[in-house]
Amino acid sequence: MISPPRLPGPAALALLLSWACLAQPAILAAQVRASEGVPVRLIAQPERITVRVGESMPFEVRALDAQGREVEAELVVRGSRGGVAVDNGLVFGLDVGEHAVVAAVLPPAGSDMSAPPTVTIPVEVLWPPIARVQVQPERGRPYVGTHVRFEADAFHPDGSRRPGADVRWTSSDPAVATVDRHGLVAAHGEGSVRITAQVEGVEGSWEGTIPAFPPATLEVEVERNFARTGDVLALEARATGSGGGELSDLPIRWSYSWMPHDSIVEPGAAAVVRHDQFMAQFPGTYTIWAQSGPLAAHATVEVESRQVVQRLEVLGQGRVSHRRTSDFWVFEGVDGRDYGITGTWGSDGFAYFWDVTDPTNHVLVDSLQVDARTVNDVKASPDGRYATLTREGASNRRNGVIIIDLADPRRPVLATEYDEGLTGGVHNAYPQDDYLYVLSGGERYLIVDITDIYHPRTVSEVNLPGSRIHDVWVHDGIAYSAEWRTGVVMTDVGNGRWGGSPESPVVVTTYPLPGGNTHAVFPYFQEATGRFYIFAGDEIIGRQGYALEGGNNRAPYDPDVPGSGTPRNTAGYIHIVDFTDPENPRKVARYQVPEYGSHNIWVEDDILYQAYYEGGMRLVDVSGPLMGNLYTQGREIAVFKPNDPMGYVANAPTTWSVMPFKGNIFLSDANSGMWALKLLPPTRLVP
Amino acid sequence: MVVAFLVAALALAAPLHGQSAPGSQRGTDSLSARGSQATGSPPEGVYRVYVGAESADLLHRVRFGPEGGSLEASIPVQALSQQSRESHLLSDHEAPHGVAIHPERGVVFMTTGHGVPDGKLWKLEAGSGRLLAGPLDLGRFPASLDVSPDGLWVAVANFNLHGEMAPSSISVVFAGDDERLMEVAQVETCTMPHGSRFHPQGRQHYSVCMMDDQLVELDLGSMAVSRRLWVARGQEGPLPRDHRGFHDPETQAQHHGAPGQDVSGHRAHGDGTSDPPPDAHYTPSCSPTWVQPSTDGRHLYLACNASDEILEIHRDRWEVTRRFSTGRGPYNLDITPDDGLLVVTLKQGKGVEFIDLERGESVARVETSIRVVHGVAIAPDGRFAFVSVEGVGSEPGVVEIYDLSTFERVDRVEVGQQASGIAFWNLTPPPTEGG
Repeated sequence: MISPPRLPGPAALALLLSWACLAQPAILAAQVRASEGVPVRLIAQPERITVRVGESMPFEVRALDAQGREVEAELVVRGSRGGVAVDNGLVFGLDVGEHAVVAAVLPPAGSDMSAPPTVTIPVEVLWPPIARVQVQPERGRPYVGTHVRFEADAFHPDGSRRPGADVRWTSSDPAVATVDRHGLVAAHGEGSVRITAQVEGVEGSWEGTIPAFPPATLEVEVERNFARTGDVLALEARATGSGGGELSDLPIRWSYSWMPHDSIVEPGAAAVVRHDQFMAQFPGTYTIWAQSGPLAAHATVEVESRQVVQRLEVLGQGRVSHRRTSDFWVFEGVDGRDYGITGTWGSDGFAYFWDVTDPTNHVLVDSLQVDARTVNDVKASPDGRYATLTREGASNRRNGVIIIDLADPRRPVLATEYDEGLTGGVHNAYPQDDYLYVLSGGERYLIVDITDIYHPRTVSEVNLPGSRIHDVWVHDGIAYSAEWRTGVVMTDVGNGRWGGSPESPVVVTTYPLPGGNTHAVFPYFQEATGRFYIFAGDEIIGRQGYALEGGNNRAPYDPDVPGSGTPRNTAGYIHIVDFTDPENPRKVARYQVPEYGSHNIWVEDDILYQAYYEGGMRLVDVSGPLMGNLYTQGREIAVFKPNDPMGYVANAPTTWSVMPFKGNIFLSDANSGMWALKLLPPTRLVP
Repeated sequence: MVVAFLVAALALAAPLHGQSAPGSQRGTDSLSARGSQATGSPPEGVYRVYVGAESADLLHRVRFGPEGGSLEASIPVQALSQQSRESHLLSDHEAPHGVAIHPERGVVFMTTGHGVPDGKLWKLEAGSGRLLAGPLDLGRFPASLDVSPDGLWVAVANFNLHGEMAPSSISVVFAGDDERLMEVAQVETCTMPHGSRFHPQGRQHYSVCMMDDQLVELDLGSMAVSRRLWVARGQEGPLPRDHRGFHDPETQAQHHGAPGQDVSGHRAHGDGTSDPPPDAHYTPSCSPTWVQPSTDGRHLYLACNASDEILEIHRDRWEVTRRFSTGRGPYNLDITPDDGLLVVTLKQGKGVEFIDLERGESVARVETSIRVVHGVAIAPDGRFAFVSVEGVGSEPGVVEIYDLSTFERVDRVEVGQQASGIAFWNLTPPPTEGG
């Protein structure tokens, strides 16, 4: 019988934790008590273990022979790495979750090794105990007759915060104030009161006096009384005391009522009020209410349809139907003509060079094959001097980036195969006139001096440990990288505000995004508002968990292959983050189209040019402050799905990238190559 | 002592050097008795192997029987992911790289090299292809792997193919649980570990490090490195257990950080090992990519990819006993059950080499049908070798089948792009008369 262990105090706990972390990989080759016989069964005591992070529990494993007698055997006893550690008959909790300890007999040389006995001991690792709870009102203070939401934060002994703590709220005097299970305090009468939050037996309190509601007046101001759907309007509620002074600590509760403009049955929740801002998604008359105790004030806003839809005209197509197209780039060559480059995916390492000076007539002027399976990304430098092709699947596994000399854009010449530090698959690159930013194996990006394209030279690298990178974009001396679960990473590579330079980059901010699928990033300064936004896109291949799951076909129709010849299915959306204060970024909006998945991004002149894979190319009005989901606000200007009955997979739009260029719009599509379109002037369109 | 060892090693090297001739060879005298059937005859039973296709995200099952070779099944990684409900598939390839099979337990283990950022281990039911457990995140680019003879442990070399030149690790995974895989250790070895193989007795595991010229022995009981052998040409000899290679920042700091310390040469240890000084710019002369224990467990065969030779290492004496020259770029190895023949894939040399271990020489070198030769798996009856060849660009990968009595390619089966790790699953005997 094992007696319950004594839980160590905080000091001992810290010691245990550090010892467990510092210990060599925990090993227990247990020599159990000897007796005759071959071990056929292991038994563990206890059969299940529960332990907190930083604490330990004893356990025992014994080997039994076929007669149930305890026998000697050499055991390997280990815990799941990172979750628990095992040493000297103790299991230590390292990380919260369901883990296990496993024990197995290590048979002596020459013995039967077909089925050595094992035993698995489930181990539940719990959070460390709560050390303190901090309670405070979210905003304003309670006056009689008002409601104020309180928040409680629970902390462990090491100061870390417990996520999702289960809080139980109580009031010391319900006649003065009551509190519901969500921490919403209703002030009923004058007097002192203590609002207490309890987390796992540890309490924290807010103590205060509820005063009478003061004589006051309340006014509401809204930025404008007329707006379009999607416009974000600032709200202000101003409470004035009897003496004429402002009462800034009165809690304000916002709400709205809505009357649609016509008889169309619109969905509910047609607007958003958040952070003292209002945004309507549907036309109508909105009355916005501010309430505090007995006071109420309102303002009315008329909201009209945004009316931004414009028609698109297809100008031309550079069809690629025998291979899958990847990324593309359009640029003005040093000879003054316009050119496009398209890459290929899983297709022998080809890249194609087009003359698109006449966008209605894409002329294939050259092609280049490199040792690769995929040329994922292609770009030209701003000065048109050189282009980059990134390689994946080179036969010698030294992928690297290909530098193309564009001195004669109609006759591109391979200048350099640069693979120094770039042997991993190179997924993306961002060429500037003097420096090239190029990804290496999804782990980091290198900054390469490219002043001499025949002799590039790496000058530095940016590598966040444990982070995987997918894309990088540079704006005003700042590199913004899309790094999956890490999110958006902002690095000073020459801006200088944080002391960075290409030779000595300085990481400024990392900003994780929900889902951890951050794949592409595009920085955009919005002149009209002075806001600086980062548009960060997910990439999710496959739609498990969605009502529309679909398949993930990439192959042309083959009667013998189920699913072939059909479009693929993706998910994910665009996150819009306000980076105006780069050290305190804040996500403000999204662009999410149901049933499709986002890919590469471009923003110019307040238009989002979004490649949305099977959702085609989508142009979105991103003028003004942004809030909520732009998709539901009537901000979509135009949608184009590049159906091509002669495509690699017929009529299966898979739009990879979009790029505005000299008044036209170009896009690349995995199944049909490159297209050029023109956005026609706005006209009154009635659906 | 070090000097004495070097002299001995050089003296041993010359007379024992294999006598392989350039180009294709034939020399079957000692091999005609291999297998129970007549030489060069078609198979009577059905042989099955599993092979990965790294750039197609597929795991294939290839069969070879009386009617020849064919592709029997293809399992997309995407389909396995859907079974696991794992939603974080990469848009790039997951990249199946290593395959290992425990036929008695009926399970297939597969590594996929890419990840966010770590690659994964998958456990499938052989035959049905049903996902049993995983995917389990391991280290950077988990590549070659092996399953212990008892089927309980899987050891995976975290190759860190495109990462920093820094020590990486062998992941040890407990696979005896029906429903889940559990990584229990990451044992740090040296830079770019590869070629995971358990000793037939199961307790020791062997791997090599390409960039440090090391052979590493791991003890399953202590779950730690038990021995290291430096296999650099002319420098062959044991290394201290804690020598993590030439690219290890800690080792470099130890050597360069102590004032007055003599860093001009090796440091001798009391256990007979010596400690060569670190060198961040160390250029491997052997660049080992594979280690294969003999069936009797007495020897280890190691492929020197850079110097185009195979080293034979006496396991107990922990020293090089023979060398065999090969074609360009020996990469993977397998050995026949009678320990008579070593089959070598020539990655850069576009070929397969056959080394007669009794005669101590290469007996055949055969050009493969396409470039970039990868893995090899020999059938348990010793009759056929199955060789995976990656191919280049969009061309499909290939599994080539060689008759080990004639060294001729008897068939080839196209699979997905960049055919990678290959492992033998089973041999179905021919139906018996009246049965």
